[in-house]
Amino acid sequence: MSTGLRFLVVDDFSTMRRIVKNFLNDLGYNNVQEADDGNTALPILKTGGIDFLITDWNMPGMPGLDLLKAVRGDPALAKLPVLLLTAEAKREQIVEAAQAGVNGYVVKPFTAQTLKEKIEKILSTRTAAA
Amino acid sequence: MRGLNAALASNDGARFHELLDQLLRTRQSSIQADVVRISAHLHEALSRFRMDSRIAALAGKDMPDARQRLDHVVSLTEKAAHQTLDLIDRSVPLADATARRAAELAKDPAADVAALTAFLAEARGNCEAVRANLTEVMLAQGFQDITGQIIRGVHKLIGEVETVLDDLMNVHGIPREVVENTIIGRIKLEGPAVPGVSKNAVTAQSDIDDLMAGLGL
Repeated sequence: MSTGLRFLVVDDFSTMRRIVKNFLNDLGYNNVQEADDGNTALPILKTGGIDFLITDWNMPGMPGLDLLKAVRGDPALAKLPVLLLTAEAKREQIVEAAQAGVNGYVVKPFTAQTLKEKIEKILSTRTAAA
Repeated sequence: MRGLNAALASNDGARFHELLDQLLRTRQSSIQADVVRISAHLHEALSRFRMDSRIAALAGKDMPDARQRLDHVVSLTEKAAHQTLDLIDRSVPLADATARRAAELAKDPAADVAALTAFLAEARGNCEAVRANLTEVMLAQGFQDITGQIIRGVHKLIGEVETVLDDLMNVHGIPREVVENTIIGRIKLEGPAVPGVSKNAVTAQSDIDDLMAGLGL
């Protein structure tokens, strides 16, 4: 497992950012940055160096779906793996997120096993494609 | 009136009294109708006044109060979650250190009684600290009592708002369906799915995985 990957965790609730960050640390990913919405996440992403984006959807300011669209619309970031970690669970929303180019979708509340599986699945797909 | 004059001119007392009674009855029923109409208007005006007072109280005091109370709920739950995470952060290294030292000693052929005794003291100390942290985690869950009470209060207020809105719609003759129809079909951010409330929501991760697989992801 590559533990040098740099993650960006975006959620407006500090507790959720902390839970995801701690969990990533448990998985061996110690390089984790945080942002509280799309507006604060985008400059971090544009600076470069982030390998994996985990974002909430429903956030004040720029929501996660807009952040995803901004990422896919930026040639430098277009191929960044993006996992939506959200309480939004309507079928139309999941389809909308898939059409916007999300790589994985985890609904809250989630289990450690689910989050681990989704991250690993996305990473293995990227490795296979590389 | 002509009938009355004719009855008077012909000196027909019985006919005169009959027509006079008729006239009085007509006048009486007209006055009664006026009284009914005026009292209905008065009732409506009083209802509107009562409703206006309720709306004023809701908008001016109760709703801002409710928002403040819900902010407090967010703050309490956030504090409890961080407190719990802090206690976990303090416990994990103790568990890790105990497990690591136990593994080292198990593999160390030179481990003597002194080393084992020292480890037992260390393990006991670590376990006691973890136990104390777990008690704190348990106590941190007390937020649910407070937040539950606050949320119940806000729930009651929302019931009152619903009643006022219903009354308002009744006064203006707006059927409920018209209001409901304007919301249907819009994709909006609903937040967490709520059993019995959220429509078209997928609650299980396995359903989402199936949906995503169907979309080629």
